[in-house]
Amino acid sequence: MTDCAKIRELLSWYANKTLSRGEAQAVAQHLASCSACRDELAQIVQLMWEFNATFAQMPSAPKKTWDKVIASTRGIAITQLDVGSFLLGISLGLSVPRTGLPRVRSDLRFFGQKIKLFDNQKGGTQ
Amino acid sequence: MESCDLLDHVARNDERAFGRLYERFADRIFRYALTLLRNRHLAEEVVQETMIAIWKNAESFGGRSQVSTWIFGIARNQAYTLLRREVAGERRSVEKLFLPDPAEEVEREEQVRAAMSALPVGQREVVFLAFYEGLSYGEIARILAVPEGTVKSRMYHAKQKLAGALT
Ligand SMILES: [Zn+2]
Repeated sequence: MTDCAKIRELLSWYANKTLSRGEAQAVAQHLASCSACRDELAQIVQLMWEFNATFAQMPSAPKKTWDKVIASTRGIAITQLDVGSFLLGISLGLSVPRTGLPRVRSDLRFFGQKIKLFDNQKGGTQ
Repeated sequence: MESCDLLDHVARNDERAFGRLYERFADRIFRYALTLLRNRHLAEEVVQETMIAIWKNAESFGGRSQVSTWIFGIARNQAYTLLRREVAGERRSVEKLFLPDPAEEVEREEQVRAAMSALPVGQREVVFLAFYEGLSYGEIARILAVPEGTVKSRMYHAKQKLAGALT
C-alpha cells in the first residue's frame, strides 16, 4: 500500500477526531506535503457535515416506546384498561414489579397531556 | 452524570437513572436501527429490546469499552435477531429512511439521502457510526465484531461511492 492509500483509510477518523495521537500526527505530517490527500480530506469533511445533518433529520423513537420498556422492566402488565376518546380519557394500569408491592396508578389524559390522579408508589420515572 | 455512572445506577435498579439513559440513547438507537433495517416498526422493537437488555445486564458492563459502544453492540445484535425472525416469516417492508422535509426540499439534501440509501448496509452503518456517532474505527470494529481493517476499507469504499454519487 502506498503512503497515500494508507493515509486515506484514516482520513475519515482524522476528520471525526478519533485517531490516536500518533496516527493523527502521521496524517498531519503527510497532509503537509500532499495536496491530493488534502483535497480528499476536504471532501470527507464536507460529506461528514452533510451526513451528520442528514442523520439528525431521521425520525425520533416513538413516544410510547418508553411506556413499553418500563412496563416490561417493572413486571408484567396484568390489566391495562383504557377508557376514553382521542382527546380525553382515563387509563388505569396495574403492574407487578420484580420486587415490592404491585403498583397501581391512574392517569388522566387531557389533550395529550398526562395528569396523574393517584399512584400508590412514589418515585420512579414517568 | 456520565453514561457509565448512569449505567452503574441502573445496575442497582435505579429507575430514574434508567429513564435518563433512555433519554440519552433512545433516538440514537432508533436511528441506528433504522439505518440497518429501514423499517420503523422493527426499529422501535430494537429500542425496546435493547433497553430491556440494558436493564437486565447493566452489571455486566465491564467498563472496558465506551458505554455507547456497548449499547450499540447490543442494539446491533437485537436488530439482526429481529431481521432473522422477519426473514423467516413475512417479507418486511423497506421504508424511506427519512421523513419528508416540511420545508422546501433542497435538491442537494435529497441527493445526499439517496446516496446514503444506495450504500450497502455494511457501509451505511459504518458511515452512521463514524459521522453521526463520532466513533473511532476501533470502537466500530468492536460493535460490528469485525477486524479494524474491514471497518477502514468499508469506510473508504463508502466514501468513494458517496463522492461519486454527489459530484
Ligand atoms: Zn497523499
